[in-house]
Amino acid sequence: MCKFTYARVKYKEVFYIMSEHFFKIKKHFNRDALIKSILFGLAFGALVSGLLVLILTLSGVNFPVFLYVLIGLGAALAALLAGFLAFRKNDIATARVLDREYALREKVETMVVFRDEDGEMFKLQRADAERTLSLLSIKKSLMKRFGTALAALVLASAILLTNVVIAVAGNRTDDSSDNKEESFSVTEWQRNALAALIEEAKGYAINEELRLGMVAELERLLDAIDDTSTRRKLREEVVASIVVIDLLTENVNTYKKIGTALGACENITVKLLALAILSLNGIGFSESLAPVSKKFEGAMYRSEIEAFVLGADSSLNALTLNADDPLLVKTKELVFSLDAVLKLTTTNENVIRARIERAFSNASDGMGTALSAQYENKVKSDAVIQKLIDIFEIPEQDIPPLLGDIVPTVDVSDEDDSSGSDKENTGGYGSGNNLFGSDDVIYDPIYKEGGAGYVKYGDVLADYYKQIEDLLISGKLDEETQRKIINYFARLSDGTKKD
Amino acid sequence: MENNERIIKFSEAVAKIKSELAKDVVGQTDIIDSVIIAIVAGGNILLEGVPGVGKTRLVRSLGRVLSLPFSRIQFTPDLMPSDITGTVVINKGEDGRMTSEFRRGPIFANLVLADEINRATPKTQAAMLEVMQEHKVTVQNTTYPTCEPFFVLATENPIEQDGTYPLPEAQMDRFMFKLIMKFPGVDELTDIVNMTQKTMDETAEAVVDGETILEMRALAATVPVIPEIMNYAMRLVANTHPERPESVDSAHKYLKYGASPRAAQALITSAKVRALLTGNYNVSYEDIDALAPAILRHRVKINYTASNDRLTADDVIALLIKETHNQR
Repeated sequence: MCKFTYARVKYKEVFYIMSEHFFKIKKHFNRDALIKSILFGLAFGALVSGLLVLILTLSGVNFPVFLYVLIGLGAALAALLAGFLAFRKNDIATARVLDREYALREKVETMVVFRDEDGEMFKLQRADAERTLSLLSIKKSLMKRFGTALAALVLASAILLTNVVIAVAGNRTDDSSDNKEESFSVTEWQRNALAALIEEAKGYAINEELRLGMVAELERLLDAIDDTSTRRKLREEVVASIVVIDLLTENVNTYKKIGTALGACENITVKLLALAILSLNGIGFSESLAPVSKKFEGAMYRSEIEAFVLGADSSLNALTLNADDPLLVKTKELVFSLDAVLKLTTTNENVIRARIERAFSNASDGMGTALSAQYENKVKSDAVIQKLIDIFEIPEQDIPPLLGDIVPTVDVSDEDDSSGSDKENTGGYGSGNNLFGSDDVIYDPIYKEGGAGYVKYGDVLADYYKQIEDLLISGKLDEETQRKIINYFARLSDGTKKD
Repeated sequence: MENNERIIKFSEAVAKIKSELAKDVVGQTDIIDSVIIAIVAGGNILLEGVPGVGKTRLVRSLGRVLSLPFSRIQFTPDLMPSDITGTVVINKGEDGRMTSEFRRGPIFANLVLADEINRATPKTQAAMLEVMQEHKVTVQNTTYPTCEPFFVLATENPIEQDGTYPLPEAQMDRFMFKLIMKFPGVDELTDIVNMTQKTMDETAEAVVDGETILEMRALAATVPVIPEIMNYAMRLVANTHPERPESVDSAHKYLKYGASPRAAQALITSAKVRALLTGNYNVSYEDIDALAPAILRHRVKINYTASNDRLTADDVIALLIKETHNQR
């Protein structure tokens, strides 16, 4: 040990020997400081842990319990060290506390400050201070010494407990449905039903691309459901398949694209054609085309045809579809045929009328067939989707909006339209903001709650239509009955009332 | 002599002085303590009080108790400086030769009572300055030292303000304390009357001498003061100066000017004596706070704001003490 260190140690020993009581009191204070630091440290650690538990758990982050304990201990240790450094007192601070708390008139501080002085008065002063300290009783109750620290620890513990309870309760609420999922597994029945659906889909007389895509997706789903262990995962797989099938159908069916393109045209006759296409009524297409052909019955048929051909041609050419698409081909044929009428050199009205009629007749057949095929695609696609929903009990709110449910609208309101008394009916059917049927009132025996009543036809048409659609899809009706029903509703689709 | 013995001698001397003075002066214990402190510290006192409260009696008794030659100077407007310091007189010897002789004035005593000092002219007051500060008199280029210990106790009558000459700041600053002797209470008045009915003479006896006072002064000088308290005393005096930006709010609000460095010296010197007087071996904050009013009240000047708020110099000093403590 070097001289200097030895001297310092010796000096400290001498001082503390002289001030035995001061040394004891200082030790007592520092012991209290340590205990206080431990209590505050624990309080801080509990507070940090509690806050972490609450914040992380409610944010969906799950830490293992030991990590919370570790972080809390770390915070407690850091607070303990900081607290001890803050609470621990050196000689001067100890002296000041004693002078202040026991009204010693700076005796102790003077003793400490001048402990190096050798003068007689300094020695007398030190002796006097030591005598005073020897008579001092510094014992205080535990509450006085550690009251604040204990209160902090109790408060922090209460906060920790409260936060843990809140976090656990919050998790239980969130996991209530997940608990069902955790225990869920795909049943044998569901697996078999899906397999049966695949086999059924393989036999669908629909677009080949759609059929193959649909079957592939269903087979993928069959594989995927074996790996799902929770209901949520299963739902996600099924909904994904539904969306894929819906998308495949939309890609294959071109009636919406063609109808939308034609509907954007300014010419009202082209719009009427768009409306007819968007009705997706293959069987009753001739009825749907009637309003279009009517436009060319008047004396100004030439100008009407010109305008129609110009508008339709322009709209169809803007489309980026497969040129071999049957509906597109037949639609273009109609336009071409009408254009050919304009090029006739004869002035015989009968010939011209006959050519027009033939053009529409061919269109009715050709486009009707194409539309029927696309209708079949949609019907089968909707059927598969519905079956998936039924087999796996997918709640309605889990199903996203499907493209197949969206039907473009075409505004065919025309001030010059002289088609008769059906102006108040804008025609068309669909969902969302579109009108369903007319405003006429009908008698419904079961619609209203509590019994029969008169309702607006437009209010119940959608419901009626849904029921009919289900009936048509169910396969319980023979083909002739199906056609009659379809024709009936087709008459309503353009807003015109016919006997 | 060991310090312990000196401490015991100090305590005994103080106790004796107090007990003897109590024979002639009823009550006024704070004044007596302050007078003892000033004497031991080597300072002068300015005593203010209405007539008849015992100012002159106190000083006379003090002179007897301390075995110190005492002189009384009654200041009047016609008093000349030479009446205080003394004058040179021409003597004719038996052989007929003329010689000059310096006749010492009443200032050449250990204890001087300057009664109603504010009645004398500034010229006469100035004559006191040199003696109080230098402890010597210079006449015709010859310097005559005063006796040691030398102590001036001056009185001021607050009532008779007509025909008085207010003491200049320079002279005020030379008084360590300004003490205010209050009118005694009814009980004390009864004791005074009872005592003076028996005899008007002072009955206090000599218990210490000048040498003892000097020894007490030397002992008091060794009393330790920790740096924090020294700093506090310095800040207290500095805070009396409103022109300092760092001074406390009360100084800026209520004071016109502050105390000189003599006040700081007086605080520490007298605090050491007071510490010993109260049985302590070190100066404490309590000592500084107890002595501050007596040391500062005649050294600071309050302004109109203080007067409007009905605050005296002592009130403002109390505020300064509080705010200076808060600065710690």
